[in-house]
Amino acid sequence: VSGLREWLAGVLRFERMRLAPWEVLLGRLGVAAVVWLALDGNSDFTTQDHPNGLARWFDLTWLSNDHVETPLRWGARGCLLAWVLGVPAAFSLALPVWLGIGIFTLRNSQGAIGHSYQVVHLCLLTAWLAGCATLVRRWRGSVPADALTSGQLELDWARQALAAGYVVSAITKLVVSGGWWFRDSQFFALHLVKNNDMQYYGFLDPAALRGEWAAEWMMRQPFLSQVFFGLALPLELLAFLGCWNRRLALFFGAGLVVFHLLVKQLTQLNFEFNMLLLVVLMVNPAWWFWRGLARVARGKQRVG
Amino acid sequence: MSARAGVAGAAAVCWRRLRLKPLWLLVIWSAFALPWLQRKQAKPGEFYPFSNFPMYSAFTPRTYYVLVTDLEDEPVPVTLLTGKVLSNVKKVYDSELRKVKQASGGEWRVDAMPLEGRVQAGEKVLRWLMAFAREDQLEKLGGLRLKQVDLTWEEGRVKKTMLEAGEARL
Repeated sequence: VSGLREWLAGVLRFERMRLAPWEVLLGRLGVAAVVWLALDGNSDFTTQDHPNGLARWFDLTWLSNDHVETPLRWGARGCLLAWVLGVPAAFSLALPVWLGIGIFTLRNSQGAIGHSYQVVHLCLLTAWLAGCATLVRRWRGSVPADALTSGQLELDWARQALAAGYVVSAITKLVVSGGWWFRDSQFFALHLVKNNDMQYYGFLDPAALRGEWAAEWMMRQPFLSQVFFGLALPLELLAFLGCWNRRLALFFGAGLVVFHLLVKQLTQLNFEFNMLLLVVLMVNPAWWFWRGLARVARGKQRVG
Repeated sequence: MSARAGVAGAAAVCWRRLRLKPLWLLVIWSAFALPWLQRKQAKPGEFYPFSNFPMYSAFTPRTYYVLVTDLEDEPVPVTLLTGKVLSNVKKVYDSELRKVKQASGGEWRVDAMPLEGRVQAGEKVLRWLMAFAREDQLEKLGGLRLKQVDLTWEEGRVKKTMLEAGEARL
């Protein structure tokens, strides 16, 4: 029992993730690559009939003007490169953050609110704010001796924003369902049918109905839907532990990626940006690979 | 020391000791503060990039989706025609249904809107959608119809009911 308690205390010990400089470089590269992907495309919205966010106060349709949008998108890409190369986030991330928020606010002001990109700009916004906080602290001369470096803090806050999204999602599930989310998840099959049909009628491609078996199977065994979602809820609610230490970050990061992959198989909803950010900010495979190599090298030394 | 000062002091100590402050600030803001501040809006909790992520927050034994047909009621591959996915078309339809409901002061659920309201909302959606359609294909079709498909859970089976939801001609 005492061994178990010690192990548990070790697993749950809070350790700030002090990323090595090469990890910061890779982390910035990963986040920048995700933002770069989100910058793809061209918006063609000339109205904002259902204003959301900042569009309630500002007309953002000028962002859809190609003469404005194209250079701004390329400018934002250049800024992302500058950030990866070490230009302070307070300056280099300002354009990508506010351009991204502007473009996607406009997109979400057309009457249909999507949830694929929030995570990208929330992580970027917090990374930018971390850069600004570092700058202010330096200016005021109030940087504690054990403070994280600017790069470490940017990725730390971005990770916290990523985890916060899952915690918020779990709280909303509990609030909106009146606490009956677990019980009601037996009706998941109904929503699966809805998604499959919508996918089919979008393209009239029979391949979209290949997931029908899952809906029928779940209808016959509603308890399995409850088990699947019963496991997902605590994973989301406790996602903040993914910022606690590297082991828990790996556990929650990998767990949430697997959850997204299963949901993708069942519902054809693809949260690719969430998955990419989970891999970059939580799973951090490069560090585990490096650690594995270091262990092997130490083992060989001992044998030698 | 007054009780209020005591509570404030304890809160300050808790705040200082709290780990992951940005995370908890975001949680409080997105899950509680924002939905409360926007409680009178159609989509409380949505302020890009902040969201309370309401999708799949409640699995009801009743839901619906929409599909688009030609004027002969044959389904049209709307994503190929307009570039818009049906989940977004449904969200726009939801927003229009809410507007109709607000304007009429009706007390019904938006997904149980009477035919007249559905047609009113559906026509607006189709006009919006047609602006994104490939002109040559749309001309051949002459117009579009929107259908609402109700899905209900009855005795362990899914029952589908198709309802009219408006038409728009060129």
